[in-house]
Amino acid sequence: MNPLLGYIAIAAVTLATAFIGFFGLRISRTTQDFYVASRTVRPWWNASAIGGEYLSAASVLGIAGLILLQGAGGLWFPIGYTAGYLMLLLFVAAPLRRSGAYTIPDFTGARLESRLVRRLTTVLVILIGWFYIVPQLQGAALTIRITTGLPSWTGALAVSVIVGLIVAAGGMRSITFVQAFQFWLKLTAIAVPAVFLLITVGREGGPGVDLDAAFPAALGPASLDVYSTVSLVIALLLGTMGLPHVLVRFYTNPDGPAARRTTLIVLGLLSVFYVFPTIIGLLGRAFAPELAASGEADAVVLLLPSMVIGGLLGDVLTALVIAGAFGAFLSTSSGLVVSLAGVISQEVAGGSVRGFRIAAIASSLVPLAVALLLEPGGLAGSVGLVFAFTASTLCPVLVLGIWWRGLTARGAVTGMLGGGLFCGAAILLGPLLAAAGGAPAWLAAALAQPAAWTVPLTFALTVVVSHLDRRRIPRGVDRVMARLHVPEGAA
Amino acid sequence: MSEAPGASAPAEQPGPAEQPAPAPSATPARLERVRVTAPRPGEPIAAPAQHPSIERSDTATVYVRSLIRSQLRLAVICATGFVVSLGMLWLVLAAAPALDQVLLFGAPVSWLLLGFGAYPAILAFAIIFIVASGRNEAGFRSLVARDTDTDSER
Repeated sequence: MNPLLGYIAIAAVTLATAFIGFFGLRISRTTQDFYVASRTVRPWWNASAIGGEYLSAASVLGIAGLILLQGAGGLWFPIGYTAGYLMLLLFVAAPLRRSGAYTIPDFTGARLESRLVRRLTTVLVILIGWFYIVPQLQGAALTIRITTGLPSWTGALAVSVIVGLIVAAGGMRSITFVQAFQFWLKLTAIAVPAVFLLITVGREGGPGVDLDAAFPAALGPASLDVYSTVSLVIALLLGTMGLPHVLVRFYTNPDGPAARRTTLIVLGLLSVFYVFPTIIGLLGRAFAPELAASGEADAVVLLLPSMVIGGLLGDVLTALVIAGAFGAFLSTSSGLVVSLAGVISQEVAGGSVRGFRIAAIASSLVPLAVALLLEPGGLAGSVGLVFAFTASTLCPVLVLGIWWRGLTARGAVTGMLGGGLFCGAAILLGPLLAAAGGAPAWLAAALAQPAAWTVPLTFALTVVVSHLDRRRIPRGVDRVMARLHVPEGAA
Repeated sequence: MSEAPGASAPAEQPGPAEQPAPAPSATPARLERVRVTAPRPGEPIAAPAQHPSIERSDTATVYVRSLIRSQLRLAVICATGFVVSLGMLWLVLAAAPALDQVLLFGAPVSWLLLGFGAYPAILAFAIIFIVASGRNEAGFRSLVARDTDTDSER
């Protein structure tokens, strides 16, 4: 592959992102602008921005890679990523917007009238954010290595530096424009190559494909492991609503119904988007099975256009895909850095703009260190584990906090700590145990996909402890609940 | 950078919670600079002034609780409906391995169904929820309004 293409595509995306970021800076003035774009972003803009922020390396590269690697098991990821927004719409979107809080710790701390809950939520949000940025940086490292031949670390470094600078300079107002632009860039970057691939394959009939090798029944939908699939789906469905960069976006809606409309548009955008990585993954199974064998499955989106189409058209499509992939790393990382910087600066620096800027730089450098130290795993897989962790910690407290009067601070702390410890232990021990070998299959499965037992455990812990502690139900609970659920204009 | 507000000094302005959200149609003039600070930790997010209905009477509390119950029931029904339909899709695929042999555009129908079949269900349940939750809220509004009328007639 011609490395020049990679350089041009990456430079173009970076320049466009920086340009829109700094253009947005001109209308970003107040602290409220910095944090949540003054809460006046229109549903279509906001939905595009949410889509742009949400579609990460795992979506653009990881899903096709996983379908290539695991077969039909990979098909569950885009379903879960999209349906997570359905759960978010059903359980948190409008009430959370009405809460008037800026960040998840603001919400939990105020709902439960507890500094401890606030602190613990802050720590969890920062942890989740960092570990969600790491796969983005690994995706950048992979893309740079495959497309330009430079060493992996340059990709991770470039993304961290660009994101840190843009966020520190522009805040969320410009990030909203950047994210909306990124969504349409990503959709174009994956849809156009997918369509050209389909046309090429359809016209030429494709080189003789061995269907039994490409779509073997052993990897088909009928032969998926029930526990792993259910556990994965639970993690993806419930994990989305706890992701810090997703939640902060809902504060930018003008009111509760607008938050719902925005989510519906997001669902539509995601449904359209995910058709294309799925198509590329299925084509990859037919035409590029050797990538799975060589451990480069995540690169299938980058490599397939030149493998199947070739020539100048293949090169142009490859450049487009590189631009989209790089856009994904930039947008998801910057969204995460914005929400992390918001949380950190509120907690440490009293919500000042200077504190926000310093926190933004810090939030982009820590994951860089982790990404450079860790061995890269599969992109969609490592993001899936972050979803499991979020579903086991923040999701129960958010859902119960919105819908159940009986939640207490102690219940929330016990649930978050218990769920976080068990899920974290499973994530850390799982690979060690798999490497050591000899563990019973059920244990390996339970550690590899922990959500099916850690999420119910967290809910149970939170409910039981809250119930034992029911004398300490926050005094202001009725007022807060009314604020969350009473529609605008009913007074 | 110098245009950014020097918000590092503690300000006495009310936190964001007290600021009513601007109505979508009436965006305030953007020239006015308002200093906004983070809510102090533990500060309640509820602003009683915004919702007189809440403080007014026990009836109002009852209305709010029943609104919450009906919204929760709706959300649980939609979530269950979606999960059940997803499970049904999977069961059908598992029960009919013959679908692996049926080809559409060169790929097995079973793979295509799993790959593309869930999205219409997701969108359908989302639309049902938005319409129904809007209705619940409209019902609540008219209850509160009727109550206010009877109060004033007395």
